[in-house]
Amino acid sequence: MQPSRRLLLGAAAAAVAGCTPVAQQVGRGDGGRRRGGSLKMAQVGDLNLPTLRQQNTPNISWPRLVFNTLTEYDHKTLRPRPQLATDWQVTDGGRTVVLRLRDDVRFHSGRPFGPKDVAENIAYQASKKGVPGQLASAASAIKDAEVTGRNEITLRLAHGISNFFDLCEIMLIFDHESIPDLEAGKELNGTGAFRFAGYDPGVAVRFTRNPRYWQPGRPYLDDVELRIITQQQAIVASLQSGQTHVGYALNPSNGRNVQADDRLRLVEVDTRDNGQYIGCNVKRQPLDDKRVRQAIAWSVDRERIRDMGMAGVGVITSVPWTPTSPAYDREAAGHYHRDLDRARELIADAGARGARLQLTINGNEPGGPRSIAEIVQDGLREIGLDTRIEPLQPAEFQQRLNTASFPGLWIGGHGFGQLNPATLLNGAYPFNAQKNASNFTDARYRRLAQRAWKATDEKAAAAVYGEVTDFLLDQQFVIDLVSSSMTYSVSRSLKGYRYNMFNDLILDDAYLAEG
Amino acid sequence: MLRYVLRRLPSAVIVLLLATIPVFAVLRLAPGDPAATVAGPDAGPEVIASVRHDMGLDRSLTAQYFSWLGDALQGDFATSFVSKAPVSDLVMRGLGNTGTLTLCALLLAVLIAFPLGLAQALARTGRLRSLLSGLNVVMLSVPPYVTGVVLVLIFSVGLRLLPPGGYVSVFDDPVAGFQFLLLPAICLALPAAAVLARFLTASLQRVFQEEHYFASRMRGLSAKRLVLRHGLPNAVGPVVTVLGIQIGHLLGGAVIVESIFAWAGLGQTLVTAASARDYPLVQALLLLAVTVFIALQLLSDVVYAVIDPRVRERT
Repeated sequence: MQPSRRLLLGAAAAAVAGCTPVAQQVGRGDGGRRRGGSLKMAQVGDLNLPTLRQQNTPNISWPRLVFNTLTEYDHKTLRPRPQLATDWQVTDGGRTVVLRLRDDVRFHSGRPFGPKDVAENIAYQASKKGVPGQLASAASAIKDAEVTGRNEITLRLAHGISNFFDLCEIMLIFDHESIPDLEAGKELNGTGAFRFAGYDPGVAVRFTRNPRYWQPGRPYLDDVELRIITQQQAIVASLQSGQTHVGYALNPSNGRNVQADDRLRLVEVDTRDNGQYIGCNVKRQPLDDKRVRQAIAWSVDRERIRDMGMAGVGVITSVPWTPTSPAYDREAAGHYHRDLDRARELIADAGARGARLQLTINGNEPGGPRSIAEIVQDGLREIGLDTRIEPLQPAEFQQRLNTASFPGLWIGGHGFGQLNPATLLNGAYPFNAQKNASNFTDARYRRLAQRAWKATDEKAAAAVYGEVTDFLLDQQFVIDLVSSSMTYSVSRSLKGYRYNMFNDLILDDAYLAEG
Repeated sequence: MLRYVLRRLPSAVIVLLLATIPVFAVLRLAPGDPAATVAGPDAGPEVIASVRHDMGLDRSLTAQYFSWLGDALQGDFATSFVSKAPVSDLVMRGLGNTGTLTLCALLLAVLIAFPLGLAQALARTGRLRSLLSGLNVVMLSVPPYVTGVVLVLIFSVGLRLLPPGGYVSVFDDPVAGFQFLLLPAICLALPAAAVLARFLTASLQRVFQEEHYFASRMRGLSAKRLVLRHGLPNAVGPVVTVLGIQIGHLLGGAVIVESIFAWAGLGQTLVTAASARDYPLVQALLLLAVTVFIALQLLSDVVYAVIDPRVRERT
């Protein structure tokens, strides 16, 4: 039988009728907050399960859906607030920490959460197996974890550490019995608001509501889907079409498109932990001379970088600390500004006029590092340095960063400026005092990093932070430009979302409003 | 015949075995370290060394090659460095998705080409003919990355009817799967439809000049009956030949369209895997391509030998 025209038209109409924008597929809820609905998120990169213990861009938008942490920082005061740990006592100069835990928490598998899980997770965080987290050294300082009550654990440290609560903020609490399955990418068993419901590599990961979540009545959403859409413009179009509610970490030029659409909001994460910097390989001439590095810092037009290269997102700075960091000093942050005469003078003193430099960038997309590199190149040209921009594929850029083998300068981004300064000095690779991407080694710097790590007394800590800041401003092996922010491009129908100090999206209270 | 096939088979196997060397080496020659990619941006050298060990990349290249080859011969292609999923599953999924996209595009191409070709052949006024011909040229000459953007602007951003990119399996959710499939399939189908329509028009115009067609017309058959019963059946032969060639073009074009619409086919999987230096996945995909190529070569040799017995005798 041949299909009639009427049948074909009917089929086409039915197909088009099925094309309802997802934002409208939400049911009625209680009070002002609507219960139910399916949240669609999108990001460019696929998940990176082997690095789940790290703070790593592909794993920022979703882990806090499945997992909880022990504590969570207040963004303004950096004071820890209860999560799985209800309260804590730090004594003996930071060498003993007693954590009391919630007694009503279960893993998605149904097993109750308890102090033994905390001990096992600390041991896992400290282990060098696989890809350890950036705070592995903080976890290694914990020498003993003793269960001292039904819901209590006592931690004994080799010495007091200033970034203990950074560890509590970054350490996702896994069900230790299913860690092998987690490492194999088969199972993600946490205590979070959503259960892991399936992963199709390179396509999407799905989460469904955890009906036994320890926060009563939460979450509001039925399920969440994170789609991997490799083209940023396609994510923007998907947001504009209402097919997607949240787009993560779009580059500035795409962020501008989001800002221009009334239905969307570009959320600048207030932790401002995306520090844009120029890295210098200090083993290469003329960058081995700190006067040249300082001259570069004086030559850069930071305002133009923020406004043109980063769509106006961020605050100009000369230091790695963000405004909420205990090490932040407004005067130090404004130390370097565009002063070409001073820069030329330093170049002349160092005898580096006419020197050739290579400036490496990650990728070659317009609106990304390329724009920043061109502004930097412009400043360097004005002080007599000849710069060539070299774009690399991400895999090659990463390799050069990790092996500290950039031929000269590079444009990069670093995190951890928003936390305890010790975490940046010991965990962020560009600044790591033991070994860093700039090949910068200095005994005093190592001592400062150790002092910052062990400074549990606020007064002593403030003094050492000042010394570190002065040291970094003088040495400039990392030239900070802008404290920018990760961005979430969000449909205005999504309410109640928040994020932690690592930008991890938290959807415990999120719901989809009408319209 | 069997003897001929058995004589040809060893050389095909040798070629395939030799091809495993560049398949194994090609991504390793490119700069970039998969251990560094997996370890993330703040990983120090010790961490990367540990990850490299876990991945088995600290062994000699020869040891890695023979280990991979041995496993591959047993059908074990290991797991992806990044997603940890079995490579064979990822390859099969990509194959299925590329096949679905190509098939759907082929169907659309035929559905568009036949009315367009017929209309062009039957157009009575010069203006209409020029209009249809212009439409055909546009469909043929505008590259998929332009068509893709235009379609997204109209159907996703403007009308908000279809998703601009991504993938949902048509088997898991037929409605959503169809929505995600439609734009990439149209984008892929348009140039193929233009080619088919041109061939159909030319073929029909040739038939219209033939005596039997003229005689049928003289017998007073209606225009509809004339075209459908006497024109189209005689004109469709060359179009079917071109359709076969177009399947190859569609498969090639699918790789580009998959990247534009983030469709999880073979092309998209290969691009993502190569940029993440996911060696096991890239090796499996390249090996699949080489195997298919060698198998087709062998098949064409066999068909040639079937058609021409002298070939069998010469070898």
